[in-house]
Amino acid sequence: MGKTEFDVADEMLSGYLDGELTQQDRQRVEHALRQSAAYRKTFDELKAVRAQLGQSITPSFDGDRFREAFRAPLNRTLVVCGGLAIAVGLILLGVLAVSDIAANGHVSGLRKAAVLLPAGGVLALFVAVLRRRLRESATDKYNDVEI
Amino acid sequence: MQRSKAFAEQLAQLGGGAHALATYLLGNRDDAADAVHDAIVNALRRPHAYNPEQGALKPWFLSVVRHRCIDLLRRRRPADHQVEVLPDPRPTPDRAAQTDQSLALIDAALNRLPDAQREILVLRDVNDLNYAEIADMLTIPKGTVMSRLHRARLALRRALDDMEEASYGQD
Repeated sequence: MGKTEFDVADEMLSGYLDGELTQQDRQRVEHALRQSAAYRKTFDELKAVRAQLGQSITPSFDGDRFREAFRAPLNRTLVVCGGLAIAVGLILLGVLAVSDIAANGHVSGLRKAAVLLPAGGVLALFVAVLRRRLRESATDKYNDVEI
Repeated sequence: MQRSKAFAEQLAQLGGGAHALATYLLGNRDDAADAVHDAIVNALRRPHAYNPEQGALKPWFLSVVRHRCIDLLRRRRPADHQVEVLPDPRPTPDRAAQTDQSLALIDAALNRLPDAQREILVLRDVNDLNYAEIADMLTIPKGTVMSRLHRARLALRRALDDMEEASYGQD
């Protein structure tokens, strides 16, 4: 990097502009600025370009997207908990209804079959779907992929 | 929960500067938005990766964003072909639509600079990091920060002059 006649490296102008020089270096740059028109011209150009850059590019971004990213895990947890509560409630309701009908001696065998067979079918389908889902999640190679 | 909410809010506030950095590293606003989003999600997953005793949050987060951008660039550019992809000096269509002529001019001038110069300008003059923070982030000596920044500002000045001359020539 070139030096001026005042033994000040050119890049020290940028350091001076940014307030990053030691007191001694700052004084050397200030001396050079007082003495040299060319040095002052370069300094003014650097100052202008820095101001232009800082003013033109105003950092802006949609922070809501970030906030949504933060809320996403909470939303997912709420959805899972709600779904589980509904599923368990429905299962309990079904078990209670079926056991009441099965234990009721006043209901005929045909009527019991009409209620118990569909209930058994729904249970079998539920178990089949659950097994398939569990098998898929255990063998899914994209499970650990970070999105 | 309150702590992580506050952490998320701090990161969201740094999103603008991080997006500017990612835009000038990746050359595309949408990719930059994705990179910053990924960096935020990763930071939220591992909030203890940030140690306040080792420095301010801003340089740390900008480092995370920078690493994410480098990952994306590596995927984009095959490692066995170290060809420097020169960005298109013309403003991108979404930028050109902006009425701010000064922004379009700076944008195009920045895109003419080498990646390293563009990056250091955005870190210093847009994100307002000091030399020590930049040196730490780029793992270069403080003196190199000063000289690289100086060359980058001079190069930007020249690019702006060239473009202004070219636009006068067209008129």
